[in-house]
Amino acid sequence: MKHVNKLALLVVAIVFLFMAGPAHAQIWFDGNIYMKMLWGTDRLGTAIYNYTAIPGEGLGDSGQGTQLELFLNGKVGKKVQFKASMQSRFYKNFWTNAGGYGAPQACANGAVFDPNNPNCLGSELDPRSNQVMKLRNASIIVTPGYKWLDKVWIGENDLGGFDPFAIGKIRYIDRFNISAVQASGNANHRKFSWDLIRISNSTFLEPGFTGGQFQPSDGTWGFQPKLKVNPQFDISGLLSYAKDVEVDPKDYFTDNGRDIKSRFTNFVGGFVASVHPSPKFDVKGTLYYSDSKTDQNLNGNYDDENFGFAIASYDIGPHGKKNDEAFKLNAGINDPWDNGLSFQVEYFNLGKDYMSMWAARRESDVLLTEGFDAAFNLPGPSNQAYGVFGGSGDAPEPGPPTRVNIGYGGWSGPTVQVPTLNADMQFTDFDEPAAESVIGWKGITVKPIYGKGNWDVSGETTWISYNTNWQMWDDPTLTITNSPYPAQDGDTGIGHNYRTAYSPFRDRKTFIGVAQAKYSFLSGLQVWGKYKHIGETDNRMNEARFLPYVNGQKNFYGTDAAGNPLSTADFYGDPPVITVTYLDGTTATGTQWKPWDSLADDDRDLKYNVMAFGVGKQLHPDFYGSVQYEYYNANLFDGTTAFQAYNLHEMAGGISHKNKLIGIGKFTIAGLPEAGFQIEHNWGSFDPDFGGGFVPQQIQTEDQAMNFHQPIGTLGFFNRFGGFNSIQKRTFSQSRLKVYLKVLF
Amino acid sequence: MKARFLWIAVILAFCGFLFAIAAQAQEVSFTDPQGDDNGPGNYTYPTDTAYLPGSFDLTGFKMKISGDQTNFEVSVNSKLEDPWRMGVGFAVQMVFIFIDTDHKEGSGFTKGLPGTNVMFAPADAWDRCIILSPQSAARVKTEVDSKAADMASAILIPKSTRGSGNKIFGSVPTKDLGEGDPTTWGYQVIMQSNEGFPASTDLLTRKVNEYEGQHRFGGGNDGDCDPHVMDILGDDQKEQLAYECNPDGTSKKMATLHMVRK
Repeated sequence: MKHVNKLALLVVAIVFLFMAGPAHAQIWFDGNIYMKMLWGTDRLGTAIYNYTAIPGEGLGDSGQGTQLELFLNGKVGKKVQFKASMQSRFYKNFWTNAGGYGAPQACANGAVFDPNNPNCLGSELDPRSNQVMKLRNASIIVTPGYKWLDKVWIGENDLGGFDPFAIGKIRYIDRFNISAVQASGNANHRKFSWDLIRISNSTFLEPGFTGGQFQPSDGTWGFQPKLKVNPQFDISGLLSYAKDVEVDPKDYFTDNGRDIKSRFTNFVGGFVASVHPSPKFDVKGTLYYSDSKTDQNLNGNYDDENFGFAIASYDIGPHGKKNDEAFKLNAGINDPWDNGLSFQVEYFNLGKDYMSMWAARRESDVLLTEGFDAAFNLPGPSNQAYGVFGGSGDAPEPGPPTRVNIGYGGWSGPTVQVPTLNADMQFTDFDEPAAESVIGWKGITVKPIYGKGNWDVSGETTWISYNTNWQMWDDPTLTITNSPYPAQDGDTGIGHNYRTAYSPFRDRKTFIGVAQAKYSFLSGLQVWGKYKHIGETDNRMNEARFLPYVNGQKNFYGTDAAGNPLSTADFYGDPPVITVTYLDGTTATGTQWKPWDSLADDDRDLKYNVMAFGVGKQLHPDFYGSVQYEYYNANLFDGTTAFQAYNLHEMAGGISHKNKLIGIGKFTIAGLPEAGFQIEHNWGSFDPDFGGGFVPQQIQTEDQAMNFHQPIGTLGFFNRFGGFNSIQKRTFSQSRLKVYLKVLF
Repeated sequence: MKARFLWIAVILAFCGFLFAIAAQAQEVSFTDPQGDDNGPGNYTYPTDTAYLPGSFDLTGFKMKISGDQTNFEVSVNSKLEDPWRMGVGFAVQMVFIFIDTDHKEGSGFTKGLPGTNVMFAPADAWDRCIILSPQSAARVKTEVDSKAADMASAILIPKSTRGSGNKIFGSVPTKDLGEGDPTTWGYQVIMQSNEGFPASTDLLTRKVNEYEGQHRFGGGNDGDCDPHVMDILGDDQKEQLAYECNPDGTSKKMATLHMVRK
């Protein structure tokens, strides 16, 4: 009832606004109602989104929800406009909540709001569940009419007018609301234009995903000059400087105010130049330099910041004092022979330490290559991180063990590439494109495109090497678990793992080849097909001095700054000798996993192929339908049981087959611009091959079966951290449906 | 014997010549100056990086009859990109191709399509309009039916439209264009921008305001008295797109287009 009243108040307020507005003011509003209905066989129901990487947020593949969004616009004078948007919270607003009415479900004992418990649902006091309207943005735009100043936009919240390498377009999701002040002007009859912006930093874009103690003052300044010399040449620059401000904890004397220090700074500067001599040929160069300094201890010693990043640590970028460049050169040859054949070529090189806090996290695609596939965007054959440890994580409790992630099917299609470690997949569903970080990538893409008659044909060949090819984080005084580089989800598994750029040892190269064609019949029927191949090798550790053991003895590769000896054996411990008694009464004795005695124990060799076929047609004036089948095959060696996927993730070495059958329907009805569904069935198998040299263990108790999600009798091995990897063939299936509709008014 | 072969060769050559003539007769093409993607002379692009320089600079138009289908090809002064994942090889452009098949005053439409804020000279009233949009044909048709119902019978929407390189393609059945010799018809092409969330009175078109915005062209008027057009065919573009506004933003003199002919 409270929420009905709130909505009524809002409507009344809007009516009053109309009535109270000055006689000459133009005020109007529009908005939309969005509804989403999910169904899935993973039976997850703690949010109306398929994915989150944030512990405690919850995710789901089942349930229905509604979102109302209102946009209020006004021109209150010749020179002043305003815009505002309000949106009802959607994240956990299941229809079954009945607006938050009723007792909390599965919250901590006695709690009505338990933000750290993803299973806590239905409480009216939980803003994620109670359908309240929330201010998303309010901005004022002043156009003073000065010759040199076009406008001042107070409350800018999109950032789409800058460059994704430095300041990228902001995602418009449930809770990501930013505000900035932007002034724009021009000179010389608009041949020269400029933008000056000050963005209030979002706390979770700063180191440690926090703004520290004094975050309201944190901000980023940006300046973007653009010069259009003539239609054949234009150039734009971009400078930005982000600062995370803290109050100096050692300034005890407050009579003269308090001093401030900076916990984090990030300077980015560069330019984009385009040469466009004819419609048939264009060249565009992008060059950025970044400098970042992290000083979380506020002692001015950036070197002590490094450390503490274990192999499974997460952050927005490397710590310490880092600088690097990102460079890209694109050439387009557009139908030079008037026969429909065009070429695009791109050279790219993103430094390992390149970092821009405001770089695009998902809304842009900065590389020409289609990259890796979203069907394998997380480590492990079940497409989840840390799946080796089982448990139920964000899944509802109590109940049967279940996956805690997007699920076996992953996301749809290829990925978009973003120039930040902080790639963002929060609040996404399976039908959306996925993003992947390309920090450290360098290589070249050649893409021929042919369009003639009813044919659309294109291809791609991409060669990638990595600026992060190094040994022991490029510094032999470090250890695997003590680094300035957050390794995020790790670089194991079939795909790239969307936010992974760093690993302690890397010697990697990748080839991507794509050929695809579409034919459009005159009847409107379209058929298409695609073949994609990825070949990748990574020797990872390739210097014998880093081996954990040599001749059965612990090996040391150096000393740290204090002179303490360093060994990778501290992370890759030797296996114990065990005797296993199997359920059939037989026994075996040997090591629990293979001792690490070879540089080949962590090698990676991937041969990956995808074939896809589809057909689509406008079946009715109001309805378009398509069906697509995708087949994925991966033959992967990804280290032995000595490597154990960094002891953290499910090992993915072996033969994987994945099938996706996808049905898509889109309705086109006046006033309902977005209405449709996507339904998928995913099925496949994984036949592990982790090599030999160990004694298999067995799931033997009900507790083990529940905790590790494998039936009693399953053979495998328990790794160094107690996780379990099955060595038997596994089969997977996952079905899911998303129905959506949006009405505009 | 030798003479007979000679005659056969001459006849074949003649047939080939006739065929070439016939084939040529089925194709019409025009070029347009580069760098005039500024409407009446001072329009500017939106500020979002999706709008690449030259994206709305019309450089060429070609119509070719190929059996029962007529193919349209529009070139722009930029490679085409699909930043909004429309799935057809382009995203920001929207092209209206107007055809005057009879060159008769009083025949056809003199008003432009909703959202373009232009009209046509009476002698150049249009009889057919082909829309090349990255939106689905069904979405375009729905918009036409609801916003330009009185002109819907004269509007042709290709079943599929696509972009490749710097060209946008679309095809419609030849019979839908009507009778006549295409080489004698008049043509006009309007370069607009695909707006997925148009105003209720606009046919998927992007507005031109006084100042450019993230997704608004600049250099015009905040009312609807200015042509919402970035480029058209013809060397006299500035004259054709000249307009005058009343203080309240209504039109005093609307931009008036004419056709170009071979």
